[in-house]
Amino acid sequence: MASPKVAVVGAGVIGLSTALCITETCPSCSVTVLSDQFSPNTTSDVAAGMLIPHIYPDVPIHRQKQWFQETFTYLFAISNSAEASEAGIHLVSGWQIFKSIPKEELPFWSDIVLGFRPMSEAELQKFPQHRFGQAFTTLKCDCPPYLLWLEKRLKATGTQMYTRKVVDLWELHSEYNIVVNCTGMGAHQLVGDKQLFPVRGQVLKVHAPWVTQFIRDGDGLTYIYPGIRRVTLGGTREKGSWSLSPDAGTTRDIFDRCCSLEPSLQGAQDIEVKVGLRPSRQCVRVQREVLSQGGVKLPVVHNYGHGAGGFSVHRGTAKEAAHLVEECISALQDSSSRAKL
Amino acid sequence: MRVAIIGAGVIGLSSALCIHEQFHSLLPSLELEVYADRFTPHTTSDGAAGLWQPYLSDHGNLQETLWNKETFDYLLGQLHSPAAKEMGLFLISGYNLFTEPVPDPSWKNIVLGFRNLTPKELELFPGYSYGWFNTALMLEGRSYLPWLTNRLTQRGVKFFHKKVESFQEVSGDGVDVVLNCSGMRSGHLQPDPELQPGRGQIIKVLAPWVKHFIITHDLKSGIYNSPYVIPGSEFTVLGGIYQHGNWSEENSAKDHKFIWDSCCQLLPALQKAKIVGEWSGLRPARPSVRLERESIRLGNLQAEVIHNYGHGGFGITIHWGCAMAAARLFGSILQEKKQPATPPGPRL
Repeated sequence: MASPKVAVVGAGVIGLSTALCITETCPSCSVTVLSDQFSPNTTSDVAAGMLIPHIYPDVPIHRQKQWFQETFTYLFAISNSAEASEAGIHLVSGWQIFKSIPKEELPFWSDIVLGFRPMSEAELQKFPQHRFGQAFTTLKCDCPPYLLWLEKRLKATGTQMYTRKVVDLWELHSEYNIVVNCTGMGAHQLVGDKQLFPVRGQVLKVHAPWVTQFIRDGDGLTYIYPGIRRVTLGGTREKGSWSLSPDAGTTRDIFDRCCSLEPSLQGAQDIEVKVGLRPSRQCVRVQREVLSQGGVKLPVVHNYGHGAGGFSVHRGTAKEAAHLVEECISALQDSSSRAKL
Repeated sequence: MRVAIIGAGVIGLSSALCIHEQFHSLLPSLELEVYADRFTPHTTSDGAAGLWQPYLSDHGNLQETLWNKETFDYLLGQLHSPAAKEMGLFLISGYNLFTEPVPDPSWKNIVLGFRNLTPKELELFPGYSYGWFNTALMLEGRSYLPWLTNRLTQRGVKFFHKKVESFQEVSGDGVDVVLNCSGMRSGHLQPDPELQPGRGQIIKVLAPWVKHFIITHDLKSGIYNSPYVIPGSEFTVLGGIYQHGNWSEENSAKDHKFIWDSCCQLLPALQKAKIVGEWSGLRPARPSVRLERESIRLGNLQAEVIHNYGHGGFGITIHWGCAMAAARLFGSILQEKKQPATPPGPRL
């Protein structure tokens, strides 16, 4: 197959990074990104983009660690380059704090982030309601900049991008040899995955440029993540809620919770409220499948279900998905050469 | 009781506030007057980035280390107050980088979370093989000085825009105590060969993705002669100039090039940063801070002068400890004048 035509459905961080990985591993591929939404209207644009992994219950830890390591290494190199500001990648230091001592004091990712150590007594004094904490430095991917940078890199490789709502993967089989499904929450409808469920998150993006440190409560519900131009204040984890409308009571609650950790946020300006649905699953679906209909086969690579951890593992899962695309290409070449015999 | 403060930088204003806070209720006749030819935003304090960090070594000057600590602890205590944002006060973490191992600084236990850099962190900074990470404080002069001015104005302290040429000028008028907080220009009021300018130049850029301070050190070329990057709430300061004995407050193209090239080498992403300003200032450098009383005979009058100058490149870092020490000296003057008021708290 001279130039396999690959369609990547979805243009959030997963779709764009997967498309980019495919152009890297398979330069002869012709890659097209199709999505009904592009930045700044994707779920990724709502997220803060912090590299702090979410634990997937059904993925072996070593695989999650590899995904995170690959992502961290990749972004670390960008943060250190002249492109850092355009890509929206920057280092940020801060604290993860706990009201009660966590079962696991050393998470699997503690040796991947920088300078991980327990907080000192003096540092904990800033948080009188918390008894234990971890200090470290990690990376943040600001969106839209990071997504726009990925789009720019893709365009440079000749990748086309189209606004198009794909209702059924089969609508693509005549134009494309392989379909890559990075539709996030959209996979619920698109491929009927009932194991995929939304976890609604509401956040506030505020102007508070004096906040340089991140603060995250270990329960994952309250966090303050300083970005390039805005600080993301969060949040909520509402399992099963599909509502994309901001809730005023929730806004007040998030603001209060964050101000109790960082009182100076009382002076924050230009509060913008956003909602996203984390496409959640017990395990991320990075998997190959061959769909079959009336004698026609359609190879599909799935890469969705990253829930709260999309940014943390995006590059790692994108590379895995790109390898699966390579396998699809080999399989197609095998079957076409067999057909010739 | 009239007190004249000469100088409206961080030292003058904080000393005035400290004295007023401690003595005004005990001494109803206390009148404070601030005299200066430069007010915010035109003082040396306004040009400084505002990072709390002493020099690498205190050269055994434990008194200064104590004043630094008092300042840090005081500011840390203010961090959660509603005034913090208006003061320009916030936490910031960052890196000190070296080309060889160095002893830990006198302030390692004053700042938060002080530790050595890990090998992976050092990968961020090619050319540097050793370093520290810690969390410290920023106190931005262009917010803090107006805040101090507002507090003083509320307390009835008067301000006079005037270049004071001599102590007699203010003391002859019925002023009982003069606080000399004139920084770089103290030598004009009373010659002091130990006071020398440590000229600095900085470039202000927009680089909001930089969330850490990065201070490099070249032990051969001396403090602040090596690139540094200090992010603030509105812009990021690039620097790395310390010229002992240079009185010029003009920006130098050669220094600009050094700062720009060396900071961009340190942080390649800065190449895309927009330059929004440039400034030169004179750090009032002295082997040690001059913080002491002096009785000055002027004709048949005697004036008490409290000197509080020579804070070099660590004025913001040390200011509150010095202000409290100046207030203690003021208290001892009151004692001698047999005023009924005694200052609260420990004495110097």
